[in-house]
Amino acid sequence: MRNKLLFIVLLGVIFSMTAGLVCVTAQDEKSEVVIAQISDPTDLDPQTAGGTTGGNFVWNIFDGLTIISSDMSEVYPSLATEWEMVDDVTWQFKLREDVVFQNGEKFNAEAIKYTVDRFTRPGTPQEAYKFKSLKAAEVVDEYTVNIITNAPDPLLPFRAMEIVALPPVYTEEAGDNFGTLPIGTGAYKVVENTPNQRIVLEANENYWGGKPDVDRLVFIPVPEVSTRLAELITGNADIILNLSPEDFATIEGNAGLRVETTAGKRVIFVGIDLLPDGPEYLKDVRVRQALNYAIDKEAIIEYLLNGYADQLATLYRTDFAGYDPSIEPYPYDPEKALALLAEAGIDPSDITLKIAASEEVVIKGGEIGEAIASMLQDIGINATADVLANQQIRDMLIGGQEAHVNDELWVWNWGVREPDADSILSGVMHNSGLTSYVRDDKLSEMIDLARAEMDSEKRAEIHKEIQAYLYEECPAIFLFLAHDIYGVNNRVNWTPRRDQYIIGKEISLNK
Amino acid sequence: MGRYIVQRIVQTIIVLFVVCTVVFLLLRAVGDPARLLVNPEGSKEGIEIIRKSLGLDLPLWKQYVNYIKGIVTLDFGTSFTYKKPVVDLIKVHLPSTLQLTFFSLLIAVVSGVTLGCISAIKQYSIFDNIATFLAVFTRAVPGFWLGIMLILIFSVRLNWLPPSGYGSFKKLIMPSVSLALSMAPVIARLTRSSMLEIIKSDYIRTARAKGQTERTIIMKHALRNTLIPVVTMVGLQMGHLLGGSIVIETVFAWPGIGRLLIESINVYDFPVIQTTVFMIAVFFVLINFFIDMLYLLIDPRIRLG
Repeated sequence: MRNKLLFIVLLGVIFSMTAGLVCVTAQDEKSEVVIAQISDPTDLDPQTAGGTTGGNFVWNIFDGLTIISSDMSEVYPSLATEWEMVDDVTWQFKLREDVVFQNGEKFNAEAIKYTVDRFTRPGTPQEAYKFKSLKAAEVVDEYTVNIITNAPDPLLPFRAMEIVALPPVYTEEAGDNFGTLPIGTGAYKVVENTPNQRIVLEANENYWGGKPDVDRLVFIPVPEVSTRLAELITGNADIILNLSPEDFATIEGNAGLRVETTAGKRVIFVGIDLLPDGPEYLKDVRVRQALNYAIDKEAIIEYLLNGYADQLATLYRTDFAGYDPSIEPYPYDPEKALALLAEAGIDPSDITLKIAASEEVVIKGGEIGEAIASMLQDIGINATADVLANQQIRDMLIGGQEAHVNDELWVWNWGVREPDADSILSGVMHNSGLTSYVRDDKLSEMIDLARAEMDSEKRAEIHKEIQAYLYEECPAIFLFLAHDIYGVNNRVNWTPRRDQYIIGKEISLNK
Repeated sequence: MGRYIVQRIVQTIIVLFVVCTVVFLLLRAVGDPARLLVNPEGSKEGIEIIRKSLGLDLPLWKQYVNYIKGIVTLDFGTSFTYKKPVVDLIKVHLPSTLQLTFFSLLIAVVSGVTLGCISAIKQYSIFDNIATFLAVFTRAVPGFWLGIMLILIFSVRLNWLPPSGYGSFKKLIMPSVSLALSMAPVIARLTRSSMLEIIKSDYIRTARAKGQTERTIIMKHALRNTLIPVVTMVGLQMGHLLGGSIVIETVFAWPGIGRLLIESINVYDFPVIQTTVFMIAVFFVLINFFIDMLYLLIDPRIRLG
């Protein structure tokens, strides 16, 4: 008797647990594109949502004052129709007059002022996250706004993509909840946000740019790459992200699927510990040059990345202002490396280097770290790869100069939307950079100069000087520009953007 | 009985307290969430601002006191990254993990006990040998690999089941099967040996002598006694099931506690990690308690206290 009772109770528990699962979701006529990425953003607040996963939502739900072209070379109008520089630190933006927020709130210069004020509120984490040069906004009239910067910022029109309009009333009402169900002016609105499950966006019928072609975008987080591939092959997902070159074959073997690639925005390099209390031998420029000669970049690109990367001579992408094509990458020349070490009077076996690397920071990062270690071993240096998890390597390096417990070298990357080297240089080469282990007053001075120079030709000249200096001084081991790889179902018309964002209004369906 | 329950509750509180403390200290030793949250283009002051806003600038003992106070008042704090109460996140993620664990437990127990019984009754038969081979194989193979193989066969090749996700019964099948496959063989082997021992005992011989059918003997007399060690084992294995679900949830993109834990570890979201581990510990303790109670049902001779 008791047995039966227990059995019935157990059955009851099991049924109640699975009951919710059995009901079938109703199908409707809406067109839908499913996008599988490695993880969800935890927060959809555009002023705090970081990284590419966050960016996939920001520019669907919101619009910036401007938007950059998909190859990142030009700035187009978005919420602003035109802009001009009033003085070195003031830019005037004329705004569209036909825009309303998804909840009916009015879009005007006040909304932009509210947005900028929220960005720059003192003491809030927002201030710390992004957009250092932004100071304030002034309403000129209903549809004209002045953006004021802390210092001259020639890249402001590019960066104004980040000034995405927030609805003042709703944002205040929602408080911390704004990041869960945000409202913007964008082509898509959030209808469901279930963490680690799915985020559903639906087309905004009243979008000022016209209703987008695809009615619904569903973003699903699928951490395991083979599962993401399975989602694509079975037709459950239409676009999958975060692939590595070896996944190519899997996709191309399937009819109806294709691989899309694009030169990305991420510069990959090996950082070097040049802090004053860092290892002495790394302070000798000949040793750093030797390290650059000792790495066979072509082999890494060909064998580890199946060719999906472009060698770079320094930290400059070819689209950066003032890029100097006459500087050739350091060739692979172990003999020369040994000669340089001999010239410096350093026996390679006296050099011990640990190379921190992570798969999650750079595609194939661990293997790249190991390849570099073995190439350095080839010239007699005691090199070992130190493969870490994303959070470990970031905790070690970001703002870790005081603790100074980092490895001597690290495989690192820097992605930036603007076609300008300021961001990467300020971040990893300037004395004050959060991830910079370089202490070089001359270099910092040149970076400051370039940042404040409003004349584009003069700025290009300074950048040429910086490149020559970087090339000569080798404060890093220069590697390559990574390519991004996507798997796409052929029913979807879409080409990837170089800034890595998936923007729904750029997707259409083959009828 | 009453005394026993009081004893168990005291034990439970001590266990949970130790778990909380160890997790708290380990996390503080491991790293600094502010550095992971700051934008790399930001500044050192930025790190300080974030640290302050998260309450990580307080002295360690103060953070600890706040944390314990929070647990006692069932206030588990606010996630660093999701910016919502951790309780809300647990509420969203817990049901799916419960579904997964219960369903795979069901599969594991039913298949394990059935296979074990048949193996024992038909000892050294072809069936017994096959069952033994399967048990060793599924036990030896790591769960995530098995999961990926299931996806390859049933989703990619046969297109019967969706590869991953949550929200329909079809999506529950593969994750729970791959989770169950690590547990079922243990149950099967234990049932087999336990059953073998019991069908050789005197009271079974007596039952046979009475002329009862083999079916009645096995189902009515032998099975119940066979299950006592099995139940103990299931209780112990539940921990593995919860641990295994962390991996399986990642493979099948299952939005459960395990995924939440992994995602939070990736960004050092302390409140979420602390609470998730706490919940898993509570779970574990409850299951053990439940198993002890189950003994009473299965074997009326057992007295707790």
